[in-house]
Amino acid sequence: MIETKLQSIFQDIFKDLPETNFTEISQKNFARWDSLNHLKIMFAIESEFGISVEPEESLELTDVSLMIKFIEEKKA
Amino acid sequence: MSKFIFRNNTVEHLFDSNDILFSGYGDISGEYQSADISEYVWFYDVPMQANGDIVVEMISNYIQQLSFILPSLNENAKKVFISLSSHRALKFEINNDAIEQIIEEYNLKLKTYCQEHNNAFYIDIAEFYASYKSSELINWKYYYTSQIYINPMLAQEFKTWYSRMNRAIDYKRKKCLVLDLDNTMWGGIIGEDGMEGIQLGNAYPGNTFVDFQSMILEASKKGVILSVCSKNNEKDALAVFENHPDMVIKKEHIVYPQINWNNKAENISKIAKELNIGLDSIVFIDDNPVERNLVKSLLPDVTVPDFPSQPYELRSFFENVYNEYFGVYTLLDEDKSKLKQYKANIERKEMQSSSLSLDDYLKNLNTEVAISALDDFNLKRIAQMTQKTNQFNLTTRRYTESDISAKQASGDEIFCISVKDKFGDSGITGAIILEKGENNSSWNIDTFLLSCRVLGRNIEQVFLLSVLNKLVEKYGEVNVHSEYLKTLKNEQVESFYENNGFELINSSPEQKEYKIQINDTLSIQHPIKVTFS
Repeated sequence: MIETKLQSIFQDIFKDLPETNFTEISQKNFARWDSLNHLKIMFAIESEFGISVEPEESLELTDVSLMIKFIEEKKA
Repeated sequence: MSKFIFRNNTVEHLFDSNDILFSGYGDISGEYQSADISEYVWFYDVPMQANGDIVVEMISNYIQQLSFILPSLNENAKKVFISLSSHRALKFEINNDAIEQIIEEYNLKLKTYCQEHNNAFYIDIAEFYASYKSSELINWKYYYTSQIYINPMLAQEFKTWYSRMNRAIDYKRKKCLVLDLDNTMWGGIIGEDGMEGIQLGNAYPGNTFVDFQSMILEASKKGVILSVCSKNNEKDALAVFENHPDMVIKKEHIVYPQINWNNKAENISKIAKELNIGLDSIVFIDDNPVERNLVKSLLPDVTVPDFPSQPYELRSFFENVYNEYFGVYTLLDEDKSKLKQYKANIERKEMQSSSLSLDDYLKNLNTEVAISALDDFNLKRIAQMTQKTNQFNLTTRRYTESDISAKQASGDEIFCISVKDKFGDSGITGAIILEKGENNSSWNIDTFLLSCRVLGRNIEQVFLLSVLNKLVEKYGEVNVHSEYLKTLKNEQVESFYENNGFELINSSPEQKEYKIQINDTLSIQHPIKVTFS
């Protein structure tokens, strides 16, 4: 399950996540999602899902639902 | 309480904690002096620039940054310095030597600082890098997008490695292991069981003692000084060292053995005094709980681990003792040769006490000194000595290699001295920098220093006078100015110049100034052979 795996990546990095539905988390509504943590998410995604996230793509992945979609497409 | 990390690239992914402040990349203007910083980490990496000249220049700039920053770090904070590793340097044919050299100089600066400061530690990152191929070490995507030098994929491995290094450095390493003999180094009691009766050999329990000794010997190769404190007739005990075929530890591995019937606290104090180390640097191993308690209560600074009740436990016992008290974070070559040095000093001292007079003693040493002008081979060592020498150092001016080259270029005369005697070669152990004044007849002794390894043998006087004679030989009559600048550590040379014929012309609690006019060769009284090159 992509969503579950992604959630545990977020959990590892942030420890506590906002109360909202996981898929609704975005850089806009979650202040601790800064550039450094974004980087950590990116390389966790790369190693967990065995895909490569290009720098241009990384910039676009500003919320969880976009990420899930992105990973699905890459894996397909 | 927080940690401040100086870095020249992104390292955030390698540390877990919220209480960390990071400098800018290669930036030393941060708030690193804030009082609540309890730990500093200096973590630079070799720059990735393709142009080797730039890499060299950048690293020499890092060295300057260090010079600037080291004196102003919070004194009581823990300081961790991570080395540069040439693993990371681009391996083109050109510039390799220069890069290797500057990396070495940088690391030397860190090591020197760490040797001189108790709570400063040097970590050799080459050990971490060595486990990976260079293509694994960097992920160019993250390097170019985020200035990350250490592949994020290795972040966990790095953290594990780094915390292991930190566990090791949080203990201050002890220096000396003092060993009991009966039922400690071998089974049984030599005075009662005799040479054939003690347990030491192939069969249990003798084999456990052989192994125990082998491990102790390995520790000694890693810089642990071994001594003995035991209640025996000295002759009986020494006979075991000399004649028992299964003894692994030999007499030559041991310094200042105290084999007598005096109380052990007294003997251990004596060992500490002879070795000139603190009691807190000693670990005492004895099977007898009464002796252990006596030492513990009379010398609370000495570490006295409990002794195992079964011989087969000796091995894990010693492993624990080693890891706990002698674990090394980085072993400098100096540690390895420490034992040799101590032993050579002891032999010198022993000769001193049995000789008739100090002069006879010095004569017997067959001391020879070689004085050499500055060259490419001794430059590094001279610079290193200006950085390291504290006690016999008249002005304590610290110089880099390039400072010294610049001095030479401006006409200064720079010499170093190496000393050898019948016990060995101490290598380059002193330096003098004569600063040229307005003309060839006026000089100032900018720096005069000697390593404490060669003190007490009139070498300082021979060195100074020989060099002054050289000046006269070269330039005729000379006027030489000199000074003593007081520091916390150089009191022993306070009267050095007076004692060598200089005239005191100015004196304050912090500083003394002298002059001397020389128009003829000064005579040197000491039986030391001097060669110039």
